[in-house]
Amino acid sequence: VSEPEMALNNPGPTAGAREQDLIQSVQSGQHELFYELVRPYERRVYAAALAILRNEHDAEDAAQEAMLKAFANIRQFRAEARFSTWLIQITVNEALMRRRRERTVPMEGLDDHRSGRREEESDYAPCDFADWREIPSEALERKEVRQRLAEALGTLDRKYREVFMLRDMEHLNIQETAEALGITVASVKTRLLRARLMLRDLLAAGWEQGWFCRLPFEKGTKPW
Amino acid sequence: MVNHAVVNCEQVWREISNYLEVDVDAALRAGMDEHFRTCKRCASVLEGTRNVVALYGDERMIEAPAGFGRRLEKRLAQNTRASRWSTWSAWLVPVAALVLIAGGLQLSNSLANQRALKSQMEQAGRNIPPAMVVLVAADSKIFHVAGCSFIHGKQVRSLTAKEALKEGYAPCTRCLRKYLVASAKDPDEDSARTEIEVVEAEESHDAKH
Repeated sequence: VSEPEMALNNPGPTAGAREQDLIQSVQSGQHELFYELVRPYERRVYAAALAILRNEHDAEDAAQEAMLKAFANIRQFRAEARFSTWLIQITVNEALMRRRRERTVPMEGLDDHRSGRREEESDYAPCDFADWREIPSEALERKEVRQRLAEALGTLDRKYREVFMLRDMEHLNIQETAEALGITVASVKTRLLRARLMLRDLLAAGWEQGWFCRLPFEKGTKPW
Repeated sequence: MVNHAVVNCEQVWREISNYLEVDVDAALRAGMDEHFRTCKRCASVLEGTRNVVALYGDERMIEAPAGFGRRLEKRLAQNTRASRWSTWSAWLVPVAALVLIAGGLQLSNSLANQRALKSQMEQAGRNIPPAMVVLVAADSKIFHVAGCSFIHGKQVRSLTAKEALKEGYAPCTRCLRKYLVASAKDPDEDSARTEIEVVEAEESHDAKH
């Protein structure tokens, strides 16, 4: 488990106790505290909806609707589950339901119960970037870098993007990701492998093209 | 010491994600570790993949549009207020229903406790002294005071007004007129007319008999 994941999923003893207090207060009728309870996760909820719907307006609406559903069902939340995971799962359900209902998102790729299974199970050979260098996390301070990373993620097929988003960005575990998307654990692992390797190739190429170099941005000339 | 499996590059790529998840058995892990030490290309793939997980897993990668939190808070506030009202109304509705049912039961009980009327023509009396001795005829549904011409010559039995009311008798509109509800507001107000009507009624009654 990575450090960021630890930090995101375990708010710490003080924050965790505070979260439990807030949950119990809202469950016992102090509804005005609900926003305080969900505020730490509002961006993650939005991002999960966006990963599935790929439209900012729809994602915001779905995120709000998911929060309202979480509020309406707060009494059903049990302490043995992580609150953040519970919220994300509600959001994924809401977004998937919208996508099925509205069908506004163009179909991308093929589901594994169709012809995609063979492709998913086939080996993926990563590009040969032997001189890969680590991208310093400080690079994320720059909006351009975050945007390039988001664009790279956006080029992935839906089935890879969704698994990657839930596992590596929302930090659901493999089992939770499978449950949220209604696919098998084996499918999650296969798609996750493919997504990570493809992103690695994209980012390595970007590194070669200077995506993560500060100099071109400072001179006002973008390398792409 | 764990025996390590001998793995090639393709096997490493296939398992590299599970390796990062710490989801490979000890022998395979040892074999992959050995492979990374000797294969520069696979070591690069491993570091690159690890870098991807670290970068995208950073919270800064998750952004929401400007004002998203404010709009969410507003919408939640609207709904939590509505929910509070619905919680109250959820209590109020059954409570109100219970009150109505209880009131209805009390009303129906009070109506049930009233004696059934024996005559459709009768009028309810008011303030009739309960101990007043009244007379009822065997074939009549009206009670009278002694001397009322309407019971002239009939076989009667005596009882108190309270008992008569309890048994369902109604006050006579002639001899007990002043106690009738319709004229109970001011029994003396139309006493003159009453006297006339009484005389006329007596004359009419006598003429029939």
